[in-house]
Amino acid sequence: MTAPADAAGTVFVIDDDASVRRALERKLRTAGFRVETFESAQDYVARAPQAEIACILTDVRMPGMSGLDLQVSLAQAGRALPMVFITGHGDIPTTVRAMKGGAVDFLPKPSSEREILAAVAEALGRSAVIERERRELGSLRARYEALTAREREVLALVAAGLLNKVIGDRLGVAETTIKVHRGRVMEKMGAASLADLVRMSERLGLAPGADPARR
Amino acid sequence: MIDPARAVPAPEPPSIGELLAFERLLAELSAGFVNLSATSVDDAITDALRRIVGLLDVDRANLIGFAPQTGETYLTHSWTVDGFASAALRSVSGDFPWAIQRLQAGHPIVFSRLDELPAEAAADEATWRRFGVKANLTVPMTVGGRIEGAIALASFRRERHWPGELVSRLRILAEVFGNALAYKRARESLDSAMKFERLVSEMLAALLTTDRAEDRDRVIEAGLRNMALFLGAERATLWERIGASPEFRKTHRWLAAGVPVPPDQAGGVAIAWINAQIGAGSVVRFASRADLPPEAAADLPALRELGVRSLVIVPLTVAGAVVRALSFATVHEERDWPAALVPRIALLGEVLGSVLARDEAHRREQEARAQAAHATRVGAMGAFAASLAHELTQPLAASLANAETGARLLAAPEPDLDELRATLADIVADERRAGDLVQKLRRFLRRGEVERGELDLREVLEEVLQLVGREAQARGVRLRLEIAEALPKVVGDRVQLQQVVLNLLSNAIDAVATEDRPAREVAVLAGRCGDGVSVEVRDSGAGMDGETLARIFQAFFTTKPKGMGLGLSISRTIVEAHGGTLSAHSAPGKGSTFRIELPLRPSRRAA
Repeated sequence: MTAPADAAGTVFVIDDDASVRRALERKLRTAGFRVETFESAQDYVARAPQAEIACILTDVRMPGMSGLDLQVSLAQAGRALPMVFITGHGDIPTTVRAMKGGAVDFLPKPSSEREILAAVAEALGRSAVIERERRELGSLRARYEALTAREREVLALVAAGLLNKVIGDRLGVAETTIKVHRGRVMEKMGAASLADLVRMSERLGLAPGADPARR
Repeated sequence: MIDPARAVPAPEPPSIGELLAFERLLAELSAGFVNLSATSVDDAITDALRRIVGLLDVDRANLIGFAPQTGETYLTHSWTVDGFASAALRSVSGDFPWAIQRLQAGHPIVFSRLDELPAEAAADEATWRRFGVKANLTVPMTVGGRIEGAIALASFRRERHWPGELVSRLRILAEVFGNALAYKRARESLDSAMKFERLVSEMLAALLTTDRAEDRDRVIEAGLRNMALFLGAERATLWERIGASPEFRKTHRWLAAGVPVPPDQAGGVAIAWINAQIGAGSVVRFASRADLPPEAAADLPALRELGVRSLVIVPLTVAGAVVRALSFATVHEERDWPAALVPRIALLGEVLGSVLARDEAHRREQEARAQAAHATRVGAMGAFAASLAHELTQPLAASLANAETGARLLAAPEPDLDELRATLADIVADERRAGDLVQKLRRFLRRGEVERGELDLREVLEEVLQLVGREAQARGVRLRLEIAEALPKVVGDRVQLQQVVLNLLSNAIDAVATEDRPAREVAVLAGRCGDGVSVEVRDSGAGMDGETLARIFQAFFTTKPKGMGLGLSISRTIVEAHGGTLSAHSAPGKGSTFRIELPLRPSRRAA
């Protein structure tokens, strides 16, 4: 097996057993991933590792904080990452809980290399998607924040599907003025079409009359 | 009977004085015999015979008995005047065929001269002549309407007449004797019954105080011997049924001196009828093989081969099933086994059977205890099986991961040899670790074998803590191990002692895990204690009240819903087998402390 093409991601391996930790680290490292190991969930929380594209490969049953506890804790802290769980004795309730919590995969212990690498690759892929979306949303927010107050008003009403004339009446300005504002909004937001602009406003969570910048 | 024509010249009728004297004798004897003890009856009868001889001026007076079963006629008591030889007390069946027949028919024998006897009495006459008897008076002795013997008066010195009054009075005297003898027999039978019961109870006492199986066999064989001697048997055998089959095999036997050892195989199918009777719970007894019913004909060859002339065999039942049989036999002569013997033999059989059943129960209990000990050990393992399985999964998972990584590395165009070497070294280490775990599991599961060796208490305790560690963590219980410096080594069985600590720890974890409190801790403290060492397992659980504390070491006492109540009982047994003690201290709300104290080496007794 060759290293994945987009092996830019980092795998955070958490297992209380040193042998297992070492074996997983070697496997992933030699397969082309960046790897960081942690001997417990608390250790991970304490060190709070950073990486743009990353996933967690963790044992479920560990002394102290379990893999599931970590999943809940990270979600609450807004630091969720795609997680792959490994367990020697998976039971259905645990599995269901983990999957509901957004686990990418639930691997039995021991698992084959193919299963482990596939699960990690999928988790990193998901992380990459999330990262891309996060970045897109960030740039969208930045563009939105570059709008003037009037332009934001116009954007909200345009996205709500109102005609220029109605918008002009509502804001007490001429229809031609609205046209100018609208052109600027399209340009600043980088929207190719009205439909594009509507999608952006949805992603920004703009409801008619709402102003996300003030939220 | 008396022919006046052939009257003897010399005889004279008894004087009034003679008759009165006889009446007085009768009255005295009748009164005297009533209060006689069984042992003095014989002497009293002989004395009475002496007085009769003197009173009636005869030369000899005999008491004769008819044996009810054999039909033999015995001379049982006799008195002879000085100057003549005494009569031997013996069987006289062959000597007086005619007289015995007449007596048994209720007729007296009366003759004043030998030539008064009829022709058919020729054999009897010859005997009398040989003994020198010139005149004779014999009357039947009746007891309860049955003729059981006779009183005979003989005159050696002269021929003489026997008055009719004398005959009738002698009949009354015979009846007095008969009653005395019947009383004696009843007493003897009672005494012998008591003797029998005493023998049985002595044997029972001997058996109950005998613990070793081989000693017990000797007691049983001695019991069979005593019973056989008492019963007049030449062979006594205790049989055991072979499973549910109709056959029995010998477990214990006694043979009288000179009695041949019977061939073993003849006890099997060859006596199918007897086996079937015994199997059905019936007693088989016969005084002679000829007494057996026709359907038992097939058993006869085997009985002949066994040399059995007479037999009584009693089935012994336990809970309604015939499991054993007890037999007494004669081989030299036939003999009768009265029905009255059967309950006694059954009693003896019950005693033997109950002791043997106790042995059996004891053996089963031992087995059950061993099983239970094993079950506890396995149960303890079961509680930690998940933990161990997890433990074992780690090195195996790591090995597999490394092996696959190694294969991939090797497939590369330029394999990273350093990485490969490290991978292989890790695989070897993990496989070794897995092997150690399997060994540990095996040591724990092995049962029964005691292996004493020098033990490092630290290693012993750390291994146990490692085993329960995961379980404790999973249940939020902190384990603390404190071991004093430079503890001496202890001689003992590693697995057994670990089992004890495991059991105490498992109890302690149970005790604190159910507590809703922040400090869930179990401490294991090891230190010196006098000449030995001590290990304490302390928990901060709910503790126990005095009543519970008093019972915790009893087998089958438990406070756990799924417990068997064996752990502490077995633990204490193990510690005591090491010459140590296991004690508990607890109070409600104060937690519990279990303390093991061990000598450095078990005392000789405990070892």
